[in-house]
This record gives sequence, structure tokens and C-alpha cells, in this order.
Amino acid sequence: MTLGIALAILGAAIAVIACGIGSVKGVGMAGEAAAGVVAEQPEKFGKLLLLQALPGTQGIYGFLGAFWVIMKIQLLSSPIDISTVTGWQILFACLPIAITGLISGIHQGRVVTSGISTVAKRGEESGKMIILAAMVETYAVLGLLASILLINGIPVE
Amino acid sequence: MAIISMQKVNIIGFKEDERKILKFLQEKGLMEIIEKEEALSSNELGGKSEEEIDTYIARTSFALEFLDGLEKEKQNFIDAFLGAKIKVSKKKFNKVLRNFKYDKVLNTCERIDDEIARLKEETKNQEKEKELLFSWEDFPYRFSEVGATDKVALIFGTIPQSEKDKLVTKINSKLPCTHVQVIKRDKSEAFLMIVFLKKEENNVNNFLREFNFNERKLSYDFDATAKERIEEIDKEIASLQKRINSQKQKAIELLRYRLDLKCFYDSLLLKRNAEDTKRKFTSTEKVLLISGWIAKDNFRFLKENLAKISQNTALIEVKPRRGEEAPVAIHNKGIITPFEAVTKIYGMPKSTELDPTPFLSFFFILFFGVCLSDAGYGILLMILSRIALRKLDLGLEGKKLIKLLFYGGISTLIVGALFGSWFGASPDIFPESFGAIKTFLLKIKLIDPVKNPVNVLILSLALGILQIIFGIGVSMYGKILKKDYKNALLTDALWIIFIVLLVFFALTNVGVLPSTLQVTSKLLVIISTVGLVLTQGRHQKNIFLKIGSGVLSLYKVIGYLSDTLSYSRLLALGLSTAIIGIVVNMVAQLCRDMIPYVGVVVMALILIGGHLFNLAISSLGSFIHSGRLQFVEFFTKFLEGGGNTFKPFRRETKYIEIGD
Repeated sequence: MTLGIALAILGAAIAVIACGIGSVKGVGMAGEAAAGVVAEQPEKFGKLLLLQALPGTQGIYGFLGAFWVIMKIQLLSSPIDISTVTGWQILFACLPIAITGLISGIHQGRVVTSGISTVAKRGEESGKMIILAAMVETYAVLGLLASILLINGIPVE
Repeated sequence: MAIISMQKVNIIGFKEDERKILKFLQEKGLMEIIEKEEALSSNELGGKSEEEIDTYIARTSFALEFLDGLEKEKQNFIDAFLGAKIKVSKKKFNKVLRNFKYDKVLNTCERIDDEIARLKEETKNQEKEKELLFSWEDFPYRFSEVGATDKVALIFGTIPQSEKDKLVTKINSKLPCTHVQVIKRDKSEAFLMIVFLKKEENNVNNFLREFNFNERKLSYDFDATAKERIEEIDKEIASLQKRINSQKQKAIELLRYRLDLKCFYDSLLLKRNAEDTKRKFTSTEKVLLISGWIAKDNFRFLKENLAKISQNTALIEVKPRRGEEAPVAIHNKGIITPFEAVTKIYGMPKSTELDPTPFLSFFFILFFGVCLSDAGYGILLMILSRIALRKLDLGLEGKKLIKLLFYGGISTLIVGALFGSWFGASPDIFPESFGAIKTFLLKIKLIDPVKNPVNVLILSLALGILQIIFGIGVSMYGKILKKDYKNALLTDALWIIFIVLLVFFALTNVGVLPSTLQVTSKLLVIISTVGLVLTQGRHQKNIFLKIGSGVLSLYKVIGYLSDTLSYSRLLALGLSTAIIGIVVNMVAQLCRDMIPYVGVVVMALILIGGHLFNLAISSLGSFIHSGRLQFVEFFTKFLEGGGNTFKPFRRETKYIEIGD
């Protein structure tokens, strides 16, 4: 094993951890709000669950970024001995999804939380609230895309 | 396929027919009733009946909650998820209401609830007394027998455990005629009874003070020991519990009225809704005027049926006031209908605009497919939505949504086959025994997004440009329909030409099209740019402003560019589905290889669970993001939106769906 591989693993780890934190915060605050609404209107559980799930995608994106790294250096079969420089490259390429995932997860959680209070009053508007939350997610999607394309472009071996 | 054209109407009739007309309108649900600004009826309905309705609603709701507390109603998860209503025919509904002795049931419910509350309170009091008696538990005398005599007095109280022995020693040595008896002791305190001669009272008191004695007054005088009394209380609590249970038993008998209560509740809701609507009417002593909107197509039906109610009722077309906007409803035929669900998420278009539903349908479903992009999931989605349509009792809107998912499944199957993804696996790794099928699947596999993400990115952006141009085209179509030919040509057509030329120019530059065309394309772009600069400021009066506005309008290119880039999400979401699928397969395989004996079972569980999870989370994402592309990138080209949704006065119930 080389330092390069260690750096690549660090990049993958950061992506998973940062995005995971973003999602945990987002889903967590949405869940708290939703739990309050369920106390009064249990029939809205389905809609609320859908809303709560939205900030959860960042965590998945972080995982996807990490998996892309794993595939790139074939960590699961016979790891490619990448150089230290390549390792740094992969680490940097992980940053877009790591940072956008962390921050957008939290902010999407906030939008969803406000959305939940709207749904509590007007259940029929949940579709609009979902779209509003998706506006935030765009940037995590772009972050993931950038990370994937960057990693894809890094020459290994 | 479009926005339904609306007609403002007045219904004029006699006041005596008001109830019948109201009932008819509520039942048919075809008319949105609006408030006349010069409404006369201040409050002549009499507030009382309305108050009564509200009280009954509150009482019925309470009774239902009370019964729910006794026994949760069994409802399967999906019904609960959808908030399904109970279907009751109109005949049965009316029969239930006729025969239901609501006052009796409501009173019984309330009485039982009161009684249970009272019994519980009583139990609590008994328990409190019992708790207090516990410290006297070992006191062997009846309380009525305990008391001071002429010469002797008693005192009760607690003392810290550490001081007790010292006190006893001191009293024994100094005051031999005093008796100390321990009634109860625990870790920190001892509960004592001290018997002393009255003449020594002062001495005793001094000793006690010295050792932190805390006096407790004897407040019982009944003719029993504490133990006997506790037993008695236990018996009483048990009997109270029995009475509570018997009350509950009585309440359980009421459970059979649950449906009746629900019908009653909903009938009250309908009544209140009707009363609220009545307030919008204009009426004099004898005559009634109802103003509102209906779909033009329903005019004849309403007119004929209103005449049936009473000869004295008329339906009249009226001209809307200047600037008054008609409410909007959309109606699409056949395969397009389910897409109304997407439009409804955004909200209604203005009454003067086009219904975007048919235009978004193709792109929405295509983008959904590209985002989900796994043929296996497509098949699964088709099967699941079919089952849901068949088995679940969905409302009209719910059905639209599920049908949309079915179409999404078809689209996903096609895109997935082209991308060569079958439950996360590529046809290359299918076993040879698949033979011809494998060859066929490999043949239709055009591109692999996981290996060639850049090509799919280009495809996504190209689809984006296509939809943007289509959007401007729809805007042009709308203007042509309104006979606004000048703007259709000079704004929309020109922009379409400009974008097409720009793409053409870009393609010659990157070498997709022969580079010999480079000069021509450059020239064409310059010409069209000049064209835009010259025309886009035409609404300005001053020549400089005209040119300035024209140049500024070129800024729109940036907007179109960022819109196009937004379509890159198609690739990202497609990849995310594909990779999760691959991960699921990989983990499953690892488990099969690593776990002895039951590895295959674990693998199967992981495969089923993992792919279902991926299907759920990815379909959600695909739906949302495909929708977003319609709302943010597509609609903005031709739609302003913000129309008022047509809300006809109709039956709105909570528990019961009243059938015919």
C-alpha cells in the first residue's frame, strides 16, 4: 500500500462523513418537526415521511462519491498502486460532493422543516413543498456530478 | 386537452327552494360559489343553529376519539398512509342518519367518560391515603384506642436514624417512666411513638428538640389498625377498578356505533359547509341569488336540473366584471390525464394561458426514465403500480399518480435497456445460458453511463436544449393562438433560430460537424445576433433605448445556458441509481461468498431489500427532479401561472365517501 491509496481513502471517507453529517442534521430536524405534526394529525404521516426523506439523499451522494473512488482504484479486488500525487488528486476531487453535501443537507433540512409546518396547515400543498426542498438539493447533485467527472478524468496506473 | 372554459352564472330562485338548490349543488359539485360584494344577508340564518352544529361536531369528534382510545381501528398500513375513506352508498348513508339516535349515543359516551374519570380520581385519592398509611403499617393499635389520658401523653414523629439510639439511651437513663417505641424504620429515618408522663412534658420536649425530632400529628381516629385500613383500601381500589372495567365494557358496546358516528360527523360537516356557503348568497325575503362559476359544458345540465327542482329557478349567464379572473380547471384526455398531477403540483395556469400538461408529458416521462435508468426497476415499477391500481382504493388524484408511475416504468424500461442496466447488472455478465436474449440485450445496449459518463452528460444537455427550444416554441404557439403574430415571430421565433444557430456553431467548433462549415455558422450567428439586438428593444420609444434594450436582451443567453446545465442532473441521478444497484449486487455477492451455509439466503435478502430500497429512493428522486426541470426550466419559457384553482361547492367529508 502506498500513501497515494491512503489519500484516496481519506477523500472517500471525507465524502461519506461530511455528507452523512449534512443528512443527519437535515433529516433530524425535519423528523423533529414531523413528529410534532403527527401528534395532532397522524393521517399526514405519509406526506411527512416523504418530506423527511428528502435531506437524506446527500448521505447517499456522499456514499456514491466514495464508491466511485473505490471503483477507480479497485480497492475491493487488487488495489492499483497509485502515486502520492494521484492520491491528492482523488482527495481533492472528493471535495465538491463532501462540502456541498454537508451544507446543502442542513439547509434542505431547514426548508423541509418549514415545509412541514405548511403541510400541517394545508396538507394538499405537500407537492410544492417537496419541489422547494429539491431546489436546494440541486447543488448537491451538481457537487456529486463534479466529483464523479473529476475522478473519472484522473489518470491512474 | 386544455383549460376548461368557464362561465360566470347567476342562479335566481325563490327563497323557499333554497335548501333543495343547495343540496343539489353540493351533491353535483359543479359550481364554485362566490360572494357577492353587496351581500345582503347579514346573519339571518340565526347563529344558533350553526353553533349547535359546531357543538355537535365537537361532541361527535370527542366520542370517536373516546372509542378510538378503547380500541384502535384496524386499518392496513397503506390505507392509513393514503388516509382512505370508508365507502358508503347514499342510500345507506341516509338510512344510518335516519335511524341513528345520536343524542343517546353521545350522551352515553360522555357519561361513561365522566364516570371513568370520576372513578379514576377516586382511585387516586385512595392510593394517596394508602401511601400515607404505609408508615403506620406496623403500628399495632387501633387508632380509636390511642390517645392521651389524665396523666400520660403521646407524641409521634420521625428522627434521623443516626440520632435514634442516642435519644433512646438518654431517655432511658434520664426519664425512666418514658417509653419509646419504634413503629417503622427505613435507611434514613425512624418513626417513633413516645409515651411520657404529662408532668415531664417539658423535659421530653427538650430532649426531642436536641435530637432533631420531627413531630407528626396523629390525624386518624378510625376504629381499625393501619394494616386493617390498608387492606380495606385495597379492597376499595379493586372494586373501583372493577367499576371502571364495567364502564369500559359498556363503552365497548358502543363501538358498533362507530360507523354511525362517522356518518353523523360527516353529515354535520356537509351541513356546516352548506351553511357557510349560504352566507355567500344574496337574498331578500322571498328571492334568492346565487352567483358563481361553472364549466361552460355543464350549463345545460345545471339549467335542466335546476328547473326540475322548482319551476321558479333560473340559471343565467352573466358577464364577469372587468378584471375579474375566472377560476381555472384543466381537463386532458386519455393518456395525458395522469400528467395533470404534475401540473397540479405547480399550480394552475392563468385562465388566459395554455394548459402545460400535454407539453410537459413527453419530457417528464422521458426524464423520469433517464433518472431511474434501470430496466429491471422499470419492470418492477410497472408491476407494482399495476397491483396498486388494482388492489388499492385510491382517490382520483391518487390514481393519476400511480398511472404516472406506470408510464414512468415503461420509460425506465426503455432507457434502462439502452443503458444496459438490469437490476444494477450489465447484460455482459449474464450467464451464457441466456443465449439469444443476452445477445439481443447486448445489441440494444447503446451506452454505459458508468463507463462513459461524459457521453451521457452530453446527451442530458442535448435533451435540455431540446426542451428549452420546445418551450419557446410553445410560447410562440400560445401567441399565435391569441393572434399576436408580431411577438410570436419577433421574439420567440427569432430566439429559436438564434439558439439553433448557436448550437450549430458550437458543433462545427468541436468537430462534430465538418469544420468547413465554421465560417458559415459564425456568419449566421452574427447575423442573428444583430437581428436580436435590432428587434428585442422594439417596445422602447427612444432609438438609443431600443438598441440598449436589444443588447441587454442578449443576456438571456446566460439564462438559457444555466437552464441547459441544470439538465446535467439527469446524468447524476441516473448514475446514482446505477451505482446503488451495483453496490447492492456487490454486497450480496460478498455475503454469499463469506457466510457459510446460509450465505445464499442472506444474499437473496440483501438483493430483494436493497433493490426495493433503491427503487423507492431513486423513483422519489427521479420524480422530484424531473418535475423540477418542468417547473423551473420549462414552464418559465411560456407560463406565468398563478391561476385560481376551480373549487366547486361540493361534498367534503372526513371519514365517509358517499357513493351513488
